[in-house]
Amino acid sequence: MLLTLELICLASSKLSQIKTPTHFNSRERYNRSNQTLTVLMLTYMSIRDEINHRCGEGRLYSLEPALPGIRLARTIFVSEDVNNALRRNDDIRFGMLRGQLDTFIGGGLISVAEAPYDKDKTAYIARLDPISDEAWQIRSIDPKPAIRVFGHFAETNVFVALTWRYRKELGGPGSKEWKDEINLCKAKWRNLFHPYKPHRGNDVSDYISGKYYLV
Amino acid sequence: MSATTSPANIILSKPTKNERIPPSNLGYFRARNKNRVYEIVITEFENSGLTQAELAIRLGKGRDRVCRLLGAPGNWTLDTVSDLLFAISGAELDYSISKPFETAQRNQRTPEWLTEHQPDVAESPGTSGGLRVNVYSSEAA
Repeated sequence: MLLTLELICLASSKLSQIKTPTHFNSRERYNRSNQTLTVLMLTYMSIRDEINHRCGEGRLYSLEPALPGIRLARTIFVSEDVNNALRRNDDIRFGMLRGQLDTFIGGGLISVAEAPYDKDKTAYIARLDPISDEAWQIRSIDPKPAIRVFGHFAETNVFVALTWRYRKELGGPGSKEWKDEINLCKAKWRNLFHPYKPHRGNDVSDYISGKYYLV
Repeated sequence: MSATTSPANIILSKPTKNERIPPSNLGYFRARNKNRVYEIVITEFENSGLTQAELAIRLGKGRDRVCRLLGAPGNWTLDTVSDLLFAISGAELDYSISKPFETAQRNQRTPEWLTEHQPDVAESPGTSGGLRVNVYSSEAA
């Protein structure tokens, strides 16, 4: 019941962002809003159902906080590929990456870059080009070798990490390697969630709530 | 259908006698430490109302350099933290020790909408100490 109420509230908030053509009369607007509300609710429930199924199939993993006292504020799901990387207990670099991911999960302050190219080099998370793909990278920049984790948001505060690469393997901005990696990320999303699209928002707060710092 | 939590990525455990700590454990706490102090510094900066340009003047550094420093704690040293906090508000860090493995387990480990979960191996108890850092401003003193 509580979940249903939350969904209605969320769907209503999404509705407020939808511009209704001015030539509709009030009844038409009401009907259209109800239809949109239904579609939004179904869509919202479905991506969660899909995630549940993929986790049940062992194709996706919920990344739990590594320490008992960390409050779950945001969620990261990881593909088998990313999960295997995080299992490298003999590698200090991947331990650091795991610590950085727990900052996201625990609602810690993260720096966010919205513009794919016009961004600070130190951003924790950044949107990738083209923006319409809704692909994001978590940037583990220090120490070398830097690591990039690629994925999409399924909803606000729910990031699905699908692939990872060492930064040195990706070449310069806009390189073929970058494009290939983004395409791989998109393909993995489609493979897991087709026909559902990644979450789309108007500004950073539509993707991440809580503490963030725009860079 | 039961959902699968990440079954065996990083296993954090209490350091024990005569046993080498897995490198991933050290890495985890290094990152955690940096991210925690980063949050303190950025929160202090945002509360100060200073601009990056003003902070750059106070530090005698270029604005680009300050912008990069505030973007992430990647290459911060203790000196960097000290410089930033003092320049922002005349503040300094206050240190104390905490033991994160002895903290009570949070009930919610996965989203409430995710169905049944398997136990997470990372939940195994340990007693590695963690550093809790508070910040005090000389303006308030």
